[in-house]
Amino acid sequence: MNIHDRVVQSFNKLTPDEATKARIYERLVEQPSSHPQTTACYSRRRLGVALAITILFCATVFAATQLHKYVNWQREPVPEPNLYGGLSEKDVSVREQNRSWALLVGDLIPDNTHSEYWVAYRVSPDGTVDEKFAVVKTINRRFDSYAAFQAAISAEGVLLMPENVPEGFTLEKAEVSYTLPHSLAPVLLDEQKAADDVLLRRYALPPEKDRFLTMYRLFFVNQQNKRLFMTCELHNRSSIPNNLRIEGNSTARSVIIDGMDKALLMAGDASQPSGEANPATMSVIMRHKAVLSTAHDQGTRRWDYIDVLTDIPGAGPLLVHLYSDYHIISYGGLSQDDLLNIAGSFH
Amino acid sequence: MAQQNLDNQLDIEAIYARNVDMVYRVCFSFLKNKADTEDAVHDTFMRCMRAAPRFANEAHEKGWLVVTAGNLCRNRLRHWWRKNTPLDETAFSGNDGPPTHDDTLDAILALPDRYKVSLYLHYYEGWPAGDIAALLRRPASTVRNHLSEARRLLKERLTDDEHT
Repeated sequence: MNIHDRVVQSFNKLTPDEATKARIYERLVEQPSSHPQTTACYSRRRLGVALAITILFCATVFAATQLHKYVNWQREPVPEPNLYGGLSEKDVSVREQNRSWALLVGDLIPDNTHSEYWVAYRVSPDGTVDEKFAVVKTINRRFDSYAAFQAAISAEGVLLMPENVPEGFTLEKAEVSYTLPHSLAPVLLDEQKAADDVLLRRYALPPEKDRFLTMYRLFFVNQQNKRLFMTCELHNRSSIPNNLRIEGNSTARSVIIDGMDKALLMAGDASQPSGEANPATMSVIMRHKAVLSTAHDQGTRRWDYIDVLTDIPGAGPLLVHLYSDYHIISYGGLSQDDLLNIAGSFH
Repeated sequence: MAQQNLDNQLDIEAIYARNVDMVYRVCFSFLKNKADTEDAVHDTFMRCMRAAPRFANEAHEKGWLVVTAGNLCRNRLRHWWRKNTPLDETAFSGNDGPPTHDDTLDAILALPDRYKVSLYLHYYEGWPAGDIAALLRRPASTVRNHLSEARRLLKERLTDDEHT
């Protein structure tokens, strides 16, 4: 059998059964649409259902607005983040166009390896390559040993990490992500036009890449199968979030953690019948500020999960402030004191 | 060619009946499990209901839905918790995966996502590369390269499987 027939036969196996189709359709017609132009909505029965669901939907939307709120590091309420706040209509339009371009281009970039990476540059209608507007996927690397992970973070020099694997837990996996600054000037291997306005360039990664870790994730588990999750993300100056999201009736309070500039302890939903905090959502979020002399813009700006590199004007060493945020989430198995002790062990 | 619009109203029931199989197959090829696929199929038709596009013909309707489905699936996969989950953890285990084991299907699911919509439209729906290029707003040469690369990867993987 040739490839064509095999592909057709395989896709045929993905055909949903009638029950699945009916289930999806039920969900579809029972959910109120913001655009009342469907004939399905015009039958009397469906109109009744839609009306009932709409009332339910409005109540749910109202409830949802109460399900989370935003606070600053001092636990004071702040407005919900507005991505385009203060921008003119024209600037918003430009950003939306850039974002659309970045999203489209993300699909054209091959997956990166640890030894080389691809960058997509925007090509102007006149054919010139806009070196300052590029999209790159992060380079991810996974470690199974904590010692190897520690070595990688130590080489980076800015990010902090727990001194040891938390007592009673074992490491499931550690993942790190690199995002290289454009000004690092890696060696160009080749380039190709991927679309009219997209030029793909393939670069060899320089040895200095290990200094440009921008994110890590640690997954731990204990014998009772309770999990502990840690993330770290490096921010540049222009994208430091100061709106911290709090879910439901969770409680939050500022805490002091040695070595950190700011920290907030969030305990789970306190409105349980027992009146005790839900350990499943106990977490600490904290921020560390480092000052670094660098010739590179080490931070990145994130647009919808795709990293967009930015240049800073001028060359030569600069003193920059680098902010890294750490989030430790305990899914049970830890007391509040244990959690704070782990937070205090970051160095 | 059937007329899609009836007095300016979108007949979602008919559109759903005509296209749900296609949208489901495309979504499954990206997401590789039934639960996420059902959500993505639902979201695709929900977006269609909300946008209420005026389809010129069935090909236009099919193209709009397949592109929307692909974009929604890619958005889901871009979330960091999906993006950083290795393939072997998201894949098809237990009752959540494809119905029966199939080397070709495994190979299709393992293809890079950027090839999947083109592969489906070309092989299953019989679209020529030029039409796919127009739909995806890519150069025809890019689509031809994607199809050629997808074919090469499939052959490579299937040959490997036969030898092991």
